Amino acid sequence: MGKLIISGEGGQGVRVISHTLATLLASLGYEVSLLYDYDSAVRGGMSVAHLIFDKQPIDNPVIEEADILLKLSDKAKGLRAEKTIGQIGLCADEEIPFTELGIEVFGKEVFGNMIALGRLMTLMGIEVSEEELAQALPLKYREENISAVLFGYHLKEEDLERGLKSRKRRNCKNNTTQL
Amino acid sequence: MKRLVEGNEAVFLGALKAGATFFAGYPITPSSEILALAAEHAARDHGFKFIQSEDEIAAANAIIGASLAGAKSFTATSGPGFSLVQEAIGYAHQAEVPTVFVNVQRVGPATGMPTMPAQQDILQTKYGSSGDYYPLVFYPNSVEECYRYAITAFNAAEESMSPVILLSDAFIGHLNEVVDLDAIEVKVVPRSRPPLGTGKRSFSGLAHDEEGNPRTADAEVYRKWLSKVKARHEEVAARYSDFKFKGNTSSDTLIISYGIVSRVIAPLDSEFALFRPIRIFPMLGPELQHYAQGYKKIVVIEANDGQYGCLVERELKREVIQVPLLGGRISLGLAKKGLSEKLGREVH
Repeated sequence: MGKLIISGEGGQGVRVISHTLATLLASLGYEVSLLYDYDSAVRGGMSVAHLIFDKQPIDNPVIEEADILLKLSDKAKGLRAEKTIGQIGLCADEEIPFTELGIEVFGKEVFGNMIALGRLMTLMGIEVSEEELAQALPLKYREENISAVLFGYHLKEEDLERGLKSRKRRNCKNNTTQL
Repeated sequence: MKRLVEGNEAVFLGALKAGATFFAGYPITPSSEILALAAEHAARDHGFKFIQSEDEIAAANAIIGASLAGAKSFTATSGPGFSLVQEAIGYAHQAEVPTVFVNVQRVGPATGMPTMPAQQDILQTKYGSSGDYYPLVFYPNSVEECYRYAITAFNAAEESMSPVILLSDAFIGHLNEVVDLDAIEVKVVPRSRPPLGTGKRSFSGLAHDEEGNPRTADAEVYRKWLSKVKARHEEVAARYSDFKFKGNTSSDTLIISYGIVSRVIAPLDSEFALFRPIRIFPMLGPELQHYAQGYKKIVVIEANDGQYGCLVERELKREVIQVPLLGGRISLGLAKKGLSEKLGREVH
């Protein structure tokens, strides 16, 4: 059994990531439960997905302690997990500049989500073909999303360096603008 | 084929399987996916009709009209919308109109917490409208059951010639699970009577005789009508005495829960006996009495402040320990905490 929580804010892609992953796990023959816990403020409100997969039928779909928690923001409070990965700056066991990598490598912040999905798949040991991935992803930006997931799946140390440099540049630029 | 299906989607597909050809509704979280699917389906299949009405009252009356005109019809709503449709539900009971109301519950009262799951409309399903009536109410706890009991709700509506309530909640409605809907076999009950336009008939929210003619001052006619309706509902309910029981010979406590709460507390089966009513109303009196017999303590855990618990207490004529899970937070941890407090011992 695997228990995974994906946490973020409305609009960050929590549903896309979790639904894609759940679809992939279903295609691999797992029983899956995916439950959404979210605030009514669609943009900016907390949004949490509880994803469980198992070879056996799943009873309780509400996770109280996950194996892995992916944090795209720290809007949701009180979530517990054995291991946390997240956007840099969110106090996770493994902090990755997903947003910056999305911009740097794929030209858009939003692709950070798909990079995070790829990283999540690596950590959970989920292997799928490109075809299976394509079927699970939304039609919009499908090719770019596949590339971003694969990028996250094969994330290397130098990629992290690249993201961190990008982050530094952006921070400096922002500070300069403020001055 | 097995695939990932959402609870609300399963309800809609179950309705289609049951032969529904008309949906009217007003969007409201967390039921809106059902309306959205109905709108999309109507665009593809012109035999299926869809109205997004100005409010839930109009939707409720539209499905009653569609039913009288010959369609299997339904609406889906939540909290405040379910309050608005109560008058129409009463009308449908009086006029003996088969139709289905889906209520995907959220935290109330009023606008409350729109995205948060609750079970706070339990008593409203039974007592929300005026007068005496005997509603059939089902509450599935999985995506597969959402499909199965959507069909059952339509069947029971045709058989009882009354509005049937299918309950869900924000968690079950938005729960995704792997299901093979094609492999689920539920017999579909055909329309119970011919539509309007096939002979002279009368329908009224007034008390009426066998032909539907208003009889508003005749106690005898009224008593006869109510007795007939009550007997019909009891007969139909008996066909759907659906529940799940998991005994535990090492426990002296039986926990009763339903819907999402029954899923969340399922791991407690190693420590307690569990009973889950699927047919919420009419209550499963004989079944509850039978299975409660061997247990010293009866606990009802539900996501409201004791609505079903008080009815279980009345049914069993013995004290029931109530563990409410409130504010949209439904978890095993909170259930254990509540149980530990009420039972005076640590529940693991």
